[in-house]
Amino acid sequence: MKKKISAVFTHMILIIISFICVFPFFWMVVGITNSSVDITQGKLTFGNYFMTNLQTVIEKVDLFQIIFNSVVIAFFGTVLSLIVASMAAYAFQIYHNKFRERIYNLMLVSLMIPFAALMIPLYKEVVFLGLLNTYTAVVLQLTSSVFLVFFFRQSLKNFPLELIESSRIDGASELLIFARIVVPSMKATYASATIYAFMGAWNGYLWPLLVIKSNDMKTFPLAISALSTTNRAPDVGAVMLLIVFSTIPMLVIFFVFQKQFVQGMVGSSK
Amino acid sequence: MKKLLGLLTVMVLVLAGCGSSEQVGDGVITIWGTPDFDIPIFEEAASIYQEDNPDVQFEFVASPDDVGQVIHTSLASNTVEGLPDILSLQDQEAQIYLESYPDAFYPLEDIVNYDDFLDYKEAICTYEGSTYCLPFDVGVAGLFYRTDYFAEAGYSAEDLNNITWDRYFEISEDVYNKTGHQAIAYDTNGVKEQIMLQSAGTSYIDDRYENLKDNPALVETVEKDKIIRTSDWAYNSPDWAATLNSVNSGDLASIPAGSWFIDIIKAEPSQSGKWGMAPVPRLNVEGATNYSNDGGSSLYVVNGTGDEELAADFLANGFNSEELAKNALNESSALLSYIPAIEAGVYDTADEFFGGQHIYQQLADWTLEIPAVTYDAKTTAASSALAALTPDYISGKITTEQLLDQIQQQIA
Repeated sequence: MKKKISAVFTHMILIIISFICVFPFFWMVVGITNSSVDITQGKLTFGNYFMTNLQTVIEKVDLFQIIFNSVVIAFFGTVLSLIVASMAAYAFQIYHNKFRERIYNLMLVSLMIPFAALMIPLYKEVVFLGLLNTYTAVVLQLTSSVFLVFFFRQSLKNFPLELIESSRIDGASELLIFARIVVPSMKATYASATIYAFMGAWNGYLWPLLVIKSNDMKTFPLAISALSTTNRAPDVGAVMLLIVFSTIPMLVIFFVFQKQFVQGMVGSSK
Repeated sequence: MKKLLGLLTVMVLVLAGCGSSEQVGDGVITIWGTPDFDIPIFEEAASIYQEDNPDVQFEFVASPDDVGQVIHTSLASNTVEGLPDILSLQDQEAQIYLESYPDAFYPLEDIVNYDDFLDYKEAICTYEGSTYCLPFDVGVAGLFYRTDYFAEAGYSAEDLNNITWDRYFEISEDVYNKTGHQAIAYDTNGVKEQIMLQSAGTSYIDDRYENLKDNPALVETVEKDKIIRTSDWAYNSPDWAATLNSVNSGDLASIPAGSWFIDIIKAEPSQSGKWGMAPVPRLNVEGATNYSNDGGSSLYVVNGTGDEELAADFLANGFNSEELAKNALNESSALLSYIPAIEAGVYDTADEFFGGQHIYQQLADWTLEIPAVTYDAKTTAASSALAALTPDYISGKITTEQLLDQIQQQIA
């Protein structure tokens, strides 16, 4: 009996929490079928405004260009940051140097500096390099993720050094060891890092806002923001639809890597 | 392993090739503006300008949500690269930019004929003797109300004409008691202080008064604010979306707002014919009028892009057209500050949504009466300080005098 009550209680709490988590998504999906006025009035049933909203989005936003921009930035941003971070983490963990820990700690401290403080120097740098309004400017900023270095190093801590040493004895080069021995054994870590890096790159707002200037370079968050900025009442239905479009790739990435992601979570706590 | 290195090299090369960079001084005038509102007007101004200057090219870019962040970062980084040739700034923010970055904008007083534009708009962008903007749209304020609710409570348009805020409060209370519909959607960001202050020709900071508490219009404004915030008949709106909703759902009986609010009212077609417009109420102080402003923007030329002279020439010659003003109203419901258009009566059309009332001509006529005031960085600071202290003031913890003293200390 006691067990039953506590199960009911647990479920109640879980139901409430999942409702809070799922409701915004539900509202978003319902929203794309309603008019702007209906949405602001809190209508929660499906309407028949989907085609109108779709038409507005297609009229006002160059959807294919935005998908292309977002994909290019998210793809290169994710891939490059994974390569850089995992290699850096490997170097920090495996190679010995008396300054190693000091440099590593310094890097970790930099996590505490808010982006707002880095914005102006970074911006000057980009202007100096002539990279304003390029994909490179957005991607470069993504590649230097201290958090990912930390994340990879944590999972490398349990990596058996014997494997590396025996490979060395067999005559494998360092890069070969990294690519053939270390990377395959860290698939789960790469999967969760991919989700993390992809979300950051796909959802990035402030930095792209600063360095991207022209309409044909805009990513999803910038396009959503531009669509909701108007002197009139914003067309909330169209904005919702654009948000749905921008959410789909994230859901896909999450479900594709979910299995490994969960494994990675379990693995890291072992 | 060479593969991996090769892949890296290719990626870097591809990325480097993907970018398109903006040229400085390229003879193309780049303009930032809001897509629905500004850009259709800019496009037409550009085509007017191109009739005499066929070689000049334009690029119109939708300005981002946080355009202020972008402008501040660029100018604080001491670079104009990445900024457009022309940008639009909200009137109440203009002085902050002019003060913070004195050389960032190109002075226009020798090029633009300011006699053609409303005086109060010119004052907004004049800093240390130079004038930096082309006056663009105005946010002339009106009192928008539901004629059906007011009729039900026994009030006609005449009862709202040129009244005081006190009278407006009485009527609103009566309408609320008789129909159940509230007035004025107010939120935490200040009620209608801006409208009240400017209607009396003053602002938070006024050179005529040494202390904030000496300014009678400011004292009355915060007191009126308190009445609104403590009354049942006024609607306490949690956010902007709720404000829009209260209007479009038919809950709200009346709201004082800038002319741009008409577009929001018209978003609900089923309410056509049920709205009316009156002048905003006035304060009880000397110099009080029934004319004020809420919002509005002006256009600025960024200094140092290489195209500033061309851009300035465009602003001086592309926007003085009655035709443009007329189309701006039809396309964007924008009222421009170009006086010849107002005097020529381009706004004189009956609006069915407002029961055939000639609202735009009325608004345009009112623009000529709006008292000129200047906003500066301290105005914004005072406005935020007031918002922060309001809860204490409403609860009676501090008096009006203490409130204004504390605001003064905060902005000193």
